Amino acid sequence: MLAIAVKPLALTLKFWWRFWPQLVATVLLGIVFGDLFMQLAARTALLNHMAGLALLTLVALTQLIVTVAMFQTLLPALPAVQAAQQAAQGETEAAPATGSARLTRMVSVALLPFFAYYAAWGFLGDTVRQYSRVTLDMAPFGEGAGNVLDVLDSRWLIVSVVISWLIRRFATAMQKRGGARSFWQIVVVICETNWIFIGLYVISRWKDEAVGWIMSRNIFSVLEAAADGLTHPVAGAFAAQFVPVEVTSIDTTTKLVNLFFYMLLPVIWLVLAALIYGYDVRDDKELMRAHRRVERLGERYRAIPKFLRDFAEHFISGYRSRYLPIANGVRITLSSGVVLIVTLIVGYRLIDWLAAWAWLGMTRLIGPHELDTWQVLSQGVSLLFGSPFQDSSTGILVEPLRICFLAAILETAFSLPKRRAAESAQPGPAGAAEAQHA
Amino acid sequence: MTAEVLDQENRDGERKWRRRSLWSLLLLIPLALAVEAYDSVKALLGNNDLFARRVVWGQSAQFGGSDWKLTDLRGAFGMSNLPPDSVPVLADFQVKIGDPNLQNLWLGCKIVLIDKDGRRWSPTSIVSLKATGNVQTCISAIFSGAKSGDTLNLRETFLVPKEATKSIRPAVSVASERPHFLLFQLEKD
Repeated sequence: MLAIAVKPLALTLKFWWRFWPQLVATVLLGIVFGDLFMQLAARTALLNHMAGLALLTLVALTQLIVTVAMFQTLLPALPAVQAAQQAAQGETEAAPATGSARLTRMVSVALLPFFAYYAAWGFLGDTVRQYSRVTLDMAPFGEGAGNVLDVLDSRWLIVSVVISWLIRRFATAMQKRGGARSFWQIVVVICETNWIFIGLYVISRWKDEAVGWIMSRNIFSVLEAAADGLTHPVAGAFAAQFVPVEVTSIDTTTKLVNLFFYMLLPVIWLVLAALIYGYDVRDDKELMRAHRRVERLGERYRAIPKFLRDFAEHFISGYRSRYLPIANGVRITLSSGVVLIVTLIVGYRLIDWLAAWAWLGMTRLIGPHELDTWQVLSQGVSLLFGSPFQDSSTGILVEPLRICFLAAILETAFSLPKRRAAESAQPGPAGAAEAQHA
Repeated sequence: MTAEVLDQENRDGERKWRRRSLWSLLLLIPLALAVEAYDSVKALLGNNDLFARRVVWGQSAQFGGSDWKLTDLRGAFGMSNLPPDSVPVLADFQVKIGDPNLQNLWLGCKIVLIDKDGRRWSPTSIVSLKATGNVQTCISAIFSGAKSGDTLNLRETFLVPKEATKSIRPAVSVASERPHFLLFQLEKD
């Protein structure tokens, strides 16, 4: 049991030692390009809000490419994951591709599901927040440029999506005609990223607005009042007591919900790692195999008439596509034992915790300075450890370690004898299908 | 091609990329630092007086489009109602206006006293001393409408500890010249 907990840690250090120059260089490239694209997007936004938002796609794309590239760098050190990949791809894959062809494949196979997932979990919100902060710095109080994010509420966004779609169609046609396939593939990816970015982020905003509108109609208040009237015919007139903030406590339900989401993030990242390595975690067949009862439940669900199933799918498909990969991710690790998932959660959070303390320790070591001097020094400290005060901030010492740890967990999960036996019994998971679709 | 040959090729490729990445760090680390810290460094240089330009007693120096000359620095001893062991100090300048666009060139004008330990004192309004009509402060001069060739008399009043009076020197800075500032020397220097 202890061996399972220790193995990922040992592997993490091993991967880090073997690949640290490549990983650090990739993180640095990401920082440089991300920052330049962000500046470009913000400056463009001062001229045209829509164009600024379109260029913001490149920032998100840079972040994703960096993460994907780091995981791909580690791949030669992951024999068990490679074996699972090969088993998934079966004989459909030709000879190992090299150079630009490999890049294209990597981008097309790993990036899109990764991006959709990234958006679904609200990581894109971080990028938009950074963008609005940078533009606010350039035009304080919105002077001249106004609010650059107002475009998110504009119905003209649909035109932008349509333009992206048309360019994508053209690129796809050119790709089929042959010649500079890699280039057209990248154009396709940028277009898709653009409409996924705008589509997912903006639609989620509109959805919130719609829900807000419905909630503001007081329908629920009326219903609640009616229910209250029935259960308490004599009206109560007690004001809630004032409780000093020092003695208030967070109730257990809130604590549990917070704990759940605190533990969920490492699992999400594990799933992202699995997605990048081309292992299809969105397939529910494997999850159904996990337990006989679950399997029976799945069979019963399939026995329901199709129109009823379609009706249900209409409501649950969003949550299904969001939580199914996590369920599968949990299953990948849980099937290897609780110890591994605990190692994942504790280890992932430990890296965050150590990075935050290293940041703090470094500030103590440097000592007090004037604010302007500190602003410069803090950039150096944040480059090393990432900033605990910024969204999606990556440090060159922390990010490679985090990626190595996730890869080590995945490698451990795939190399456990139990899983290998299960895979040999039922060969060919659905990864091949995913690779083909993409 | 056997698996061993492939393996060897992969290992060679990995080693090659490791070496390339190591070399690229020499360029990427300063580049990333520069990109990240650009705004902060700009703010640091634009808001602070970091590099002194020494001006010998009796000489004038071109600064913020005009010629600045320290004409007097003296203590006003014997005043009552002041904090113990403190002395009012008057710094007088004569400025010959070159470029009259003072509202841009003199923006953020700051005259301070600096002692040998690097301590700084800003002008005070606690002490008010009578001055002749044509004496202005640095900030009021910005809006005086002075034209090219005019000569302005500027005075700032400070309150400094007695023990610091021996080593204090006046310094002038404006936003258009930061991070450089003028540090005037006295006759005894």
